[in-house]
Amino acid sequence: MDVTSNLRAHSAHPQCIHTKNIYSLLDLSQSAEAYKRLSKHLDNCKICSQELEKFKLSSENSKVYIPTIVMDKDLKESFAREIEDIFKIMDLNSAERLKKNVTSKFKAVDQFGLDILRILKSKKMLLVYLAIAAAYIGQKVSL
Amino acid sequence: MKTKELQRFIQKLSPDLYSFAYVLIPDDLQATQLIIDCVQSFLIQKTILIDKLLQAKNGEAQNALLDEARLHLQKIIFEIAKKRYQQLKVSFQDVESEIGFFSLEFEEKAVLYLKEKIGHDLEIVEMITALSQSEILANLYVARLKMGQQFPNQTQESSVTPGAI
Repeated sequence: MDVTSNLRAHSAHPQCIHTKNIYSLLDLSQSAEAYKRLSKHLDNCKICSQELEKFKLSSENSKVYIPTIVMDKDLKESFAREIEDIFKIMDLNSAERLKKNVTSKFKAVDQFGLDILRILKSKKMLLVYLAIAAAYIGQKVSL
Repeated sequence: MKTKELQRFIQKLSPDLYSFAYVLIPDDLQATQLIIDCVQSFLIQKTILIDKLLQAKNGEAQNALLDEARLHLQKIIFEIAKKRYQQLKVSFQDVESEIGFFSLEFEEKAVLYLKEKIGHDLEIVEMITALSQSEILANLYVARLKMGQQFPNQTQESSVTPGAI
């Protein structure tokens, strides 16, 4: 019997219209409104309660056929190496990050010093120096 | 938390991530590549969460963040796998033509695995798969029904080593 016919067979029980929803009791959280409503119905409906028990049993039996895939040792080791490489590439290593931070800060300080030197050597500053010197000499002469 | 600890945490998660990846993409090489891409994508996308993790001290807050990271990794695996599955579908025909779990549809396998094997709540399955609750419930119902039909009243623990299928 295929799934469609089985579905039809399940829904073919004409006795209770709620049977098609009753299976969700296996998965809904107990605090869910639908769970409370359905379990209340289950207390009063023998058909649904039998149907659920049957389905629960069949689900429990087939649960063991859900496989756990075993990762062999070689695969595990190669994955570990891959992850190590990814972490290196992603530059998540804290020592590396610290080194990069310090280097970039040093570069910023260096750049600041160079900028000041460039300003001090500029033509405008030369005029300023001359003006200061002239003012100083003028002051001395007047004295 | 130090970077090395985060790296170790992800490495430790690898068997679980691989198992989920293989369930969605039943090919050992593709599944391995999928979890590598997932970790890369996680480190690029979730920078805020990673910064929080790296700043977190030991304790409950850190554990909560690690749990969040685990869920995000599963979500990314699902997202990438969904796209790749469409492209690689033809190459899984042999595996999917067999009876059992691998013959289920992509979303049926995903929700059944997340709910029954990992034990996630419906809300978390909703977050990982971006499906609505009613879609998840429907997928779970159909998946259980198919599995119940294929394995009536048999009990045996199932574990698969890639390549054995």
